[in-house]
Amino acid sequence: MKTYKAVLVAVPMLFISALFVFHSKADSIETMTSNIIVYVLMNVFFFMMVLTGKTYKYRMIIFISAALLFPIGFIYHNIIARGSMLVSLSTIYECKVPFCHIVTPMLIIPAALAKTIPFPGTMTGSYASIASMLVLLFSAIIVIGRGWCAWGCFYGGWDECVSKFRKKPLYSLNNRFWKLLPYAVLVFVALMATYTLTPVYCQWLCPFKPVTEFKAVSTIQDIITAVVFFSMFIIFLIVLPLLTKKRAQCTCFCPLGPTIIAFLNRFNIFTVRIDTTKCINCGKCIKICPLNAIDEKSLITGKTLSQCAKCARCIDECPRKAIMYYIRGTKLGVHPNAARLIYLYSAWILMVAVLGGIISTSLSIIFKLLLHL
Amino acid sequence: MNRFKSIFGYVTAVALFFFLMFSFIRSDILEKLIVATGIHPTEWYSGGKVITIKQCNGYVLEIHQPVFNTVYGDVTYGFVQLTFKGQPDLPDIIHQAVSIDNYDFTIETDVKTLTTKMVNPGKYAQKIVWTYTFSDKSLNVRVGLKNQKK
Ligand code: SF4
Repeated sequence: MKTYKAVLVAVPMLFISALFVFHSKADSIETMTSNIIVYVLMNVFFFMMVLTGKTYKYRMIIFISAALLFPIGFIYHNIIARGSMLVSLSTIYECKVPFCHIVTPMLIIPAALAKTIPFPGTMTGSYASIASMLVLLFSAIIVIGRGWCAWGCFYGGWDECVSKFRKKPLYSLNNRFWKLLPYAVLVFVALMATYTLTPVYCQWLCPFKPVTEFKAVSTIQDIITAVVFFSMFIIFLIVLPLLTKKRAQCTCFCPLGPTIIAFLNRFNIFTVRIDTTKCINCGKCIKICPLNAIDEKSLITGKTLSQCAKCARCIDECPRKAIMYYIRGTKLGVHPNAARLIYLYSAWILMVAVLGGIISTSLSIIFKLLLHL
Repeated sequence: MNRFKSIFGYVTAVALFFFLMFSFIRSDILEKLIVATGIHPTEWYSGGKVITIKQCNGYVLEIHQPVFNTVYGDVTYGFVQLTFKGQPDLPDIIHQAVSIDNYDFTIETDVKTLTTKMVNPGKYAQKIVWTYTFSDKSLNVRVGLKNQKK
């Protein structure tokens, strides 16, 4: 795109992102500095995306930075709020545990049948309250479908980051076991949570526990769960992404993204399509897709699978420029840039509001800690 | 038809962008909608709603609704949560008889050591589940109950 056009397209983002980055008064110079850094960075990246037509690398930098920085802000908040990264029983029974979107699959049945949520959180008015997180998740899914998993989720950057380390994969997740595993996890945690009225995934399985919070180790059961958490972290966030070059946790284990959100993604207005008239069947997109969302059939039908998180890696790397963002109902390839820009506006706003906020909070904590050393 | 579908597609995509903006800027409205559905954290964590408030000597006692309910109906063993709020501080020892929904029992709590013992379990009180102080400085005791109806 020509520079003056790119400037015109990117200018509204300057105003919209300011609404989110500067929405509350900065309480310190460190907070103001980190807000400004995030604001400038997000707008420079957005402008570059518009100007160059490339999406993936700019998205990836923010996505990975937010995931790696998230634990700093989260743990710091917990230390300030309750004196420790560990969750004590009194915190649990006081219902003061921050809600996380991955709990959502476990609350569907209990909420539908008994209006109850198997999670020790607060409905409103607290850090990561249940209602606020549900609003965020539902709005994101309605607007960009599984785009949430590449533009909004503050965990996914961990396995995306580790998947970059090796040049070539040594192992493939493209078999029945790994494809069915997330559904098995979903059914297991949804039924067990309904039966026990506890967030089973958070209590027993979550690979992100070692970098967020978990129960103080005081019983044999606590020791076993701690071992499980660290094992899950090593398997799904380090070993498998390293061996497969895929986002292993997000593809094979998360009970939310590859199952429920992927299902809803089928009805989302935005999708990624392959122009079969341009495609030369080189198979590069199949190899590089971090979520296994393109298979041989996709190259014939032109449709990516419902697992697609619209991360744009295949779009950017297709040697024939045959893959593009697409708005359902429109004619493929007629205004591909319009579809891309409309999508990018929504996805980037989500990124600014959620991941930009996380980066800014964590940076300001780092600055404060450095200044007080 | 194709033209109509195309226009509809673009209009919906742009409208969704505005919806996203709205949902961030006025998230309070959407949060209220979620709260209005009546969903809430399970009483097995929250302790259930307070149904009786008693003014005692030097403190206020809040008695929560006994909890037996699960998704698949009431269970045999549940609990009742008692919240003691000091005025301003709690006495060192609380000796408390409780009578709620025909569950009668007496407990004694040492506020300093956070230990509670059952003085008189009555017919349905089982055991002390736990004793904790919360961040609002209230003292909370959970007493295990056997469901009278089971
Ligand atoms: S199909 Fe393309 S856009 Fe979708 S997740 Fe895979 S690489 Fe990303």
